[in-house]
Amino acid sequence: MAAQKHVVEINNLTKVYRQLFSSREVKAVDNLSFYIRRGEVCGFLGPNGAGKTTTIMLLLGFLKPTSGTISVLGQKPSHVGVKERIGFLPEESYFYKFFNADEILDYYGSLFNMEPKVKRQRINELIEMVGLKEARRRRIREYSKGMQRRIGIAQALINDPEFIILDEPTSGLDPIGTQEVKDLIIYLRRSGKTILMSSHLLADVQGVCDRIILLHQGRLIVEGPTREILSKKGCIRFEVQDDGENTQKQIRNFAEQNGIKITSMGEATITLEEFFVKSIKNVGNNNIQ
Amino acid sequence: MIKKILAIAHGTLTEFIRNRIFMFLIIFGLAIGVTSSLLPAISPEDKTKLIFRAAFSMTGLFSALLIIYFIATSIHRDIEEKTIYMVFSRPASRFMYISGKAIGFFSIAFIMVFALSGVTLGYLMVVYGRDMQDSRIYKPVKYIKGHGPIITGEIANLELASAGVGLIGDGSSAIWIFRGLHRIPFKEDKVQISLKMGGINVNSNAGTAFVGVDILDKDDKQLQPTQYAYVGSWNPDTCVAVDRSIVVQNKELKVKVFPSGKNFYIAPMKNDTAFLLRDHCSFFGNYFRASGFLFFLVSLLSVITLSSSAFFGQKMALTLSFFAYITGHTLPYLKSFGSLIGMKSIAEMQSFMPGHGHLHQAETYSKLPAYLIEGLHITVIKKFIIGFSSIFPDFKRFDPAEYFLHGAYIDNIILLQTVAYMLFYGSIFLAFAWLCFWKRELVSR
Repeated sequence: MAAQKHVVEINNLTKVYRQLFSSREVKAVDNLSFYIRRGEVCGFLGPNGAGKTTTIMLLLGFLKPTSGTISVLGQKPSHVGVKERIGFLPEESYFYKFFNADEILDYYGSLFNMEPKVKRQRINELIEMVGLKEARRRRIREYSKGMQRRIGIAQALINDPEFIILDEPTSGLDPIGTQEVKDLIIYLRRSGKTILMSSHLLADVQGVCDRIILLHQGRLIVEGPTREILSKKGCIRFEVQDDGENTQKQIRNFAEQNGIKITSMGEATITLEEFFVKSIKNVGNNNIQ
Repeated sequence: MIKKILAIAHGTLTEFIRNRIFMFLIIFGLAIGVTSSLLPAISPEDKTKLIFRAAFSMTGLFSALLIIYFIATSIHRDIEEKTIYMVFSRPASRFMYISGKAIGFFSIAFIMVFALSGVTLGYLMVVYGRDMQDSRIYKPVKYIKGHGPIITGEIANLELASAGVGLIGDGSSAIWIFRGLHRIPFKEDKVQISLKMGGINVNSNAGTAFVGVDILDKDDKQLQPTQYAYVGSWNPDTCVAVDRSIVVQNKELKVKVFPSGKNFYIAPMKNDTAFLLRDHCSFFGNYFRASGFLFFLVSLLSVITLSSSAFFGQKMALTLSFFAYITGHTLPYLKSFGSLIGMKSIAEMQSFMPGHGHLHQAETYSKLPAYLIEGLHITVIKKFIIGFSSIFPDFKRFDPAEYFLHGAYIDNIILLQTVAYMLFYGSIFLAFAWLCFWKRELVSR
């Protein structure tokens, strides 16, 4: 059955916002169709106002489609039972700020009817996983943005969901936190979870997503496997060990002799993010020593 | 499902407690202190009763304002700050959310009303401690309700009391008759008879007077010495003690009440009552039962605010809830007003509003602008006002002072009747809240 193969199926989805007592209409999603396969990490991209958040709201049943159909885990999104199998991290920290980390996880855990013992154990695991052990008794309103993001990730996983919707999971996190979240997403994929990840930070998406869905003005622009979409047709990239000035010269000569056209060549660099993470980790290791 | 509803309720209660709204208690305590020191100077009513009357009113008002504000902002914040997403992205339905919120608000109402009542009682205990501890509350024996009054002797100022029974002055009296008293198994040495009267008209500056009360058998033989009871024009009720032996030996008793001086009149009404009371419970027990009335009122108000918040934004919900609070308390007046619209003479209005106390009211209504008195559209307005005031809940039913200050025990039947009334209206408003929320889209642009 398609519902088993695809965690999400969206067909000809349109959402028009209408204002009460006004003829003004805004088409946020326009005839959108896509699917998400079981076990994949799907990147959901698009500029501001592309309709990403509206689509997520529709997927969660907060909004009703103007037309078209949505199926999430084989059910309608408004079906309460389907939420048992979904984890959701919103774009911002929409939490009751008067709770502390323990309490907020307990609160959300209770909405899943979790047994108190199982819930307690799960809370402890998640708090440790997101590195908030020291701050677990502090009110969320006292948390930094990064800490709020971490507790957000923890609450999204409280029910050990099959399908996880992550809206800007790395926003507000420092590069180390970002790397940890990316590692976590990869870990979740290995555990068989299906993830829909919406993000503005394209490097984050590129690093973890199997497939990409790109929206613009509510319409689907591009959809496909990340590698395929990002591959530069007709180009090959490889790195070689640099043993001095001669290396470049030798490669250039070899290419000329064999009729190979080199379009660019230069010193290999790492990203600033990789440099930052490496440096901080080195300082940490030295301090420990 | 119950666990999820309770989790939402618990979250709501935690929000209230952590918002430090309890700081309000300090302001309330100060307000009680100031009131208690000012009120006795401006009113002749018994000091403790007066302060309790004010305290009940203030507890009701403070609790109502606080709960309306809290609910309207809480629901609005949930939607605007999108915390509601985190509830509905879980297996929690809108029904569960509204139910959980309602239970949370009831808990808040409970804590708030009893905390404010506790503050009042604590303050009054410090100031009037011993008097109150010695007080006893008497339970009405309801099936022996005295009928009457029957007026004997001179009746004065008939034109003023045309709608009542009549004003009785010096040399005249009102008699209440009790029958079947021998069937009541009294254990106490003394039985209390409580008399509720329409009003006292004191023709002096004092504003207070004494009434004489005689207990007679069916042959008008006086069975115990005349007792004199203190009454005030604001508090025309009185209570006298009767020996147990007198009550059990007589199938029928007459209670004769007469003014003890020349300068005032008693104004008994057709619907005045006299209750035979027996010693029942402590002052404190009855005080907290009276506070229960306020709890039911604040609970009903919280459901009204919840339903308006489920449909409207914060400002509109606040406005409607305050409107409901004021309307609920003035419903009898609104109903009278609706009925009076279109009446063209004071006499016609007075025949509708019995009681000399309403004369001024009738005169006021008669001065209404012409467009409220005449015209075809009046029928629609009149029917709307009467219809609205007939279906809207009457908050006067939740007035604890009515029972408590008259020293009457608030028994379980009265409490259950009030709960049933609250539940009836509460269910209607709650159903409306569910309906509104069920259809409401939670994301706006």
